Amino acid sequence: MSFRVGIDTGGTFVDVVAVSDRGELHSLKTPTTPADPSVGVGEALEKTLRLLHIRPSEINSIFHGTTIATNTLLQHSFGRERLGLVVTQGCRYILEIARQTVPGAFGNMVIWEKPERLVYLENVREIRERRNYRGEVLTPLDEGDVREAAREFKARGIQQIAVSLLHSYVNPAHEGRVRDLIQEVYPQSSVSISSEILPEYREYERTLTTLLDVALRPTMSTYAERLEQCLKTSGVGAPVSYMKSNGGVGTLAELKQSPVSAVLSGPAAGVLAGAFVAGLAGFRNVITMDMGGTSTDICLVEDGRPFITTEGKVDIYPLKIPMVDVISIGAGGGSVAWLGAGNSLRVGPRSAGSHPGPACYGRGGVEPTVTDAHLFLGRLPQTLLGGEVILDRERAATAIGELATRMGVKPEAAAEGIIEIANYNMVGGIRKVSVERGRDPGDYYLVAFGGAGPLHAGHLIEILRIRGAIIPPLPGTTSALGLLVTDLRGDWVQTLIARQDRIDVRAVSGVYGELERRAWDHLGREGVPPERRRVVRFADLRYVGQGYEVRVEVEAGEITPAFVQTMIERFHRAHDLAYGYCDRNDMVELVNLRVQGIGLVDRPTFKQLPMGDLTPGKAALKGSRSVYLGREQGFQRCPVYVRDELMGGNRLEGPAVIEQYDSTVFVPPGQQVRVDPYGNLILERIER
Amino acid sequence: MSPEVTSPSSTVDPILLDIVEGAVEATIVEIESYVDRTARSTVVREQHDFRAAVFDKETRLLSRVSFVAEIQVLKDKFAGRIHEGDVFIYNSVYTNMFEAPYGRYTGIQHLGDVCVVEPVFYRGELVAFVQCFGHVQDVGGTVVGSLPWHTPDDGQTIFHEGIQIPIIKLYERGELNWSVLELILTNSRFPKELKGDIDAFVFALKKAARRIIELCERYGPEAVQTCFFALIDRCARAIRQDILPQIPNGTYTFEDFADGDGIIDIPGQDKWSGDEPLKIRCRLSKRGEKLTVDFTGTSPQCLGSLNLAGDERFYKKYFGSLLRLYAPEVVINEGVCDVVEVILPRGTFLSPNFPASVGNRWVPMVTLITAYMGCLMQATEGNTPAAFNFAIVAGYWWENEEGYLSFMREIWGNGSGARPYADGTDTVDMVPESKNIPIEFMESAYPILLTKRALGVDSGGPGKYRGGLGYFEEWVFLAGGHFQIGSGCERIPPWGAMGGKPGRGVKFVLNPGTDLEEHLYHYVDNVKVKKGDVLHIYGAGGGGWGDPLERDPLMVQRDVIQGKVSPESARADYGVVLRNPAWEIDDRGTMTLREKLRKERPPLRMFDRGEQALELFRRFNIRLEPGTY
Repeated sequence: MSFRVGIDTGGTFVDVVAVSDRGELHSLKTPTTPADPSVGVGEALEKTLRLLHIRPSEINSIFHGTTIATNTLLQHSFGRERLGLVVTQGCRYILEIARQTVPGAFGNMVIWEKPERLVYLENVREIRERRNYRGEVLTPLDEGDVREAAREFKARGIQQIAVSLLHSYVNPAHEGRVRDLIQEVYPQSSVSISSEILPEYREYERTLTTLLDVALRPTMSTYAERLEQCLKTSGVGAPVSYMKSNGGVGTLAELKQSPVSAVLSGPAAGVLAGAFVAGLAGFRNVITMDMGGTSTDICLVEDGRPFITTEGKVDIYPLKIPMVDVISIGAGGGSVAWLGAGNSLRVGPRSAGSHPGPACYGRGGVEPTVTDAHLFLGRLPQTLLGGEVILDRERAATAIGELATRMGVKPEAAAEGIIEIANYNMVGGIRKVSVERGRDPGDYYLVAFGGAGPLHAGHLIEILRIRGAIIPPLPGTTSALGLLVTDLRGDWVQTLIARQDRIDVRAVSGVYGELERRAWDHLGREGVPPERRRVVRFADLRYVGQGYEVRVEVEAGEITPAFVQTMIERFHRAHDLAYGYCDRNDMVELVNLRVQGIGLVDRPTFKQLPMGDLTPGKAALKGSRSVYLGREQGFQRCPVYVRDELMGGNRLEGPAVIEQYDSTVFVPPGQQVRVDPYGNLILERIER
Repeated sequence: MSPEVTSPSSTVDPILLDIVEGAVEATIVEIESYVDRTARSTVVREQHDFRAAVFDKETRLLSRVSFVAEIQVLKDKFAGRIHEGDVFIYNSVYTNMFEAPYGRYTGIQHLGDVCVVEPVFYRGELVAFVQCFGHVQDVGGTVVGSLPWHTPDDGQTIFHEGIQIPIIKLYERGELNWSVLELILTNSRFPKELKGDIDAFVFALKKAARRIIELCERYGPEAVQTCFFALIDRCARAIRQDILPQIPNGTYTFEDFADGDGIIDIPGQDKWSGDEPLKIRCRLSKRGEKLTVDFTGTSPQCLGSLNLAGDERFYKKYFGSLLRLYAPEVVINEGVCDVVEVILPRGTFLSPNFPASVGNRWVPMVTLITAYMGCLMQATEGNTPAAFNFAIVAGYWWENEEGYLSFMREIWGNGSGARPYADGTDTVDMVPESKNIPIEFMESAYPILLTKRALGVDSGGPGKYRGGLGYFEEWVFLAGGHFQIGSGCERIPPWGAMGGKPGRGVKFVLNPGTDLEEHLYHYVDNVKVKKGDVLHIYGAGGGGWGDPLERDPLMVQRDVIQGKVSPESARADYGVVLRNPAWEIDDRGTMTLREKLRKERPPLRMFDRGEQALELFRRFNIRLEPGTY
């Protein structure tokens, strides 16, 4: 037999999903090893081989999602003191000035302190050179300045160097030369140049993206090497691909070369999984919601494809590379409930994490969390993960009771309130990815996964008036599944600003030709045979005077005036869809041309569940317990089902609880669940 | 105010209240994100000079204080004539002038802010209003960009500042009134951009109204209405319980100044010596659960454009937005009006009479904040940040190669004041989420070469904690045209506190170091520039806090290495001796120098306004409250 294996390293667990060529799905979890995450991957692989009784040679490919790049940025553990930056004369303070932005509300200027910049100002070097926006040289490159800067970097051990010169997106020659000179003087250095990382205008954002790339390089190179090493040790010879932020996969060679592409590796896998699972269940337009212990990741999927943004942000750093447009909300099972000024109830963003954890974990936590609220209301069982975690309802009741007393309400109202507020935080996130993109959430199904997602899906359906939710078979390891259903994907961009009446078709044709050639060659280097390579064009446009662009897909084929006409018309339509209006008399401006290269990867096929009756079998009904159903109904006895015993075609009505190894589903009154042939639960309102 | 319906909050479901509050705030975020993406004016989309607000049906503000938000006048004017599908538009500042004795203010404070309001109906009943206003590029008037400082030189009125649109309907029951729109657009130098901005506001509000309707659908309009009232109650309670106790009881007086209005008040003098500063006198009294702000003694309205047309309700909300700093999670809404009292004589430059010019009212808006901070400084015995000045506004216009007038506007932030615990922040704008224009955007869109964008060395006020630095920029104009620049604080820099020195004021120099060198006054309207002219812009730094001789020499050393402080200032202001070329600290030399400086200097004061400012006050016979200079 042969297996494809997805390994997703998260905050607490390494999740593994293995699919055999017969479509059998296996999943398991091992603990994360924060000191050296590659060790955890090795252990997970060992466990997989052992439990599934397979030989290393039976694994024919490995796909890996990792949060290591994200964490390196979040924890600022990239070695700031080794970072250097080379800029055009006059721009030394580019990072200090940034965009002069104070976050938050009016008045914050008085108190807000700018976080430490990515590079110490002492390590920013100006060199004499200058181009204008057409790429023409105003001041030739002073090679002496570059050599001197390189010598200084060398003397001080500043090894990771970013180069970002003004208008290099139009003409990268100076940057290329600067890199050569630095490496000539200082061969041990590692240099990223902005025209390669992000050839787009807006110098601050381009500089920052380039810096993040070079900052992540040592960590990610070491990680990639260790990963290769530990696979070798396990005797697995299969190629390894990593999940990229753009929702595609790449080889480890690409990870070493362009580490910034991995910043959203973890969340991207979840989004892809959600899109895939929904597709199997027959839904093309969905909103994925991955709710873990501390946060919930939300993303819009349209026609089976996740939304991609180039206005993303990781921690405090805006990042302009294409990334899945996933929004992270500080609402998870461990989110802490507290009272703000005027006794207003707030939930999160602080999380009790796994230590001390929710009050009911009995590990010293005393503050009420979302998990405590669910347990108190009878929606969670007394044990989780097959008995690995035992929950203490008394402790949950104490924590919630105290909060309720301060609020002057009954404990069950406080618990319900905690869940409602958490729900509204998630609703805010769902609105952001839908409404702010001009989409009505009512047209979408929700894909709810992560350990806590299935508890909230029912409520979210009600609040958002959406049609229903899909709950995948293994909510806790769904992200890892996403790794197995992804194509190779790379993005190339070139800024070309031109008003609609001045678009030069030859220039557009030239840029697309060049970008397509690069995409094609890249796929070749990644080992994709020509018949599996796809190249798609996009363009970013706006009305003259706007500051944001709208992205549209454009046609393949020859670039003609008619092609330009179609592109402009697509922009008007996209603007109308996103913002509710368009103006065909208005002047449109082309800003960026983009190409995406895709290397098609075979999808695994999944085995279907045995089909059962409309009513679940006896084995599926575990018993009943008292569950809170809202102010009017109070606590009522509700049936509890075992998910593993449900069969395709089964239906059941709420109120009900469905328990499984890594998650719990709550079906509120007025909703029903049906089990589809792939084992997905489809949760919907009962229309009467 | 409309006290007719009040609802004891005990009958309100506290959880639904939080949900409604969250939904209202989310609606604001949504409107802003739409406008960000679709607006044309750089002041709106980059500098974020626009605000959205949600009101209950009684016109009380529900959302986080947007300090200009106010629609009482609209409701009074159209009583009984507000229909579903109506969209109101206005930019007028003064309204109902035909009524005795003074007329009223609309709430909009200068003509550049075009305001759109939509009533929200649920099943035929009015349930709320949503509002969005933003600073558009041009609404006519004597200067391109509609922000004349003081043309003509002997003073101006609102009639120099552009078209005044009274509160009128742009849409009536869903139908666009094209004549109204055309009348407005025809009075702008950039009608296309103005249309783009108005469209952005109107359609963002349409989307936002849906959110309020959804709330009503889910919880019923009565429950939502009850929550609206309770939100206002809750804000007042939170201010009383959580914020006011942090301010000591007492009365504190401080005067701060707008740096003149550009009009020469002493004949025969130049502007630097003849333009009289404008005083805001702020007397803050805190007694138990009441905060009173008394502006008696503030300068009369001025001939220039620095008048701020605000009524008591506005100043209550404006101060309310500052109270938020004491409890960041409190949503400050109309409830603040129950707690804060404002005493405001009519006819001051904070309460001008029609037809006073108001275009650059943001200058007194900053001064109000620093005046208030001066009071708090006394109340907290020094535990308050030093002063700052938040912005410099520039405009540049030229004829493009097709023969059309083209326009660029940039707004720079400045350094913020040092805090009792940290340095001020460099180059930040008071307006949240404001952005500067990237050099690469600037050069590809406008005929400008930006050869330097840097921090202004020594611009931050020396102190134990240093004030934040302002900008230094060098521009080369690549096309002939006209230029305008305006800012506060050239002659009166942001004050230092508790022994800290003032920040450096702004300065603008055209063609520096050449025969054509010209030092521009900080309010200039129509400066002719030729291709190749060079402009130097020196932004303002924040005031310092605490004794500069107590600043850690290592921090002074780092500032010198980073080019934020010159070696000369390190020595003269901080008493730190550094040795070239590696800027090593000379410990002995530093100790000796610091001792010497300590002996020679006058005693430290709570406020240091700088000798230049004090000299100016003497020239104009301005007396300051004792202990505040």
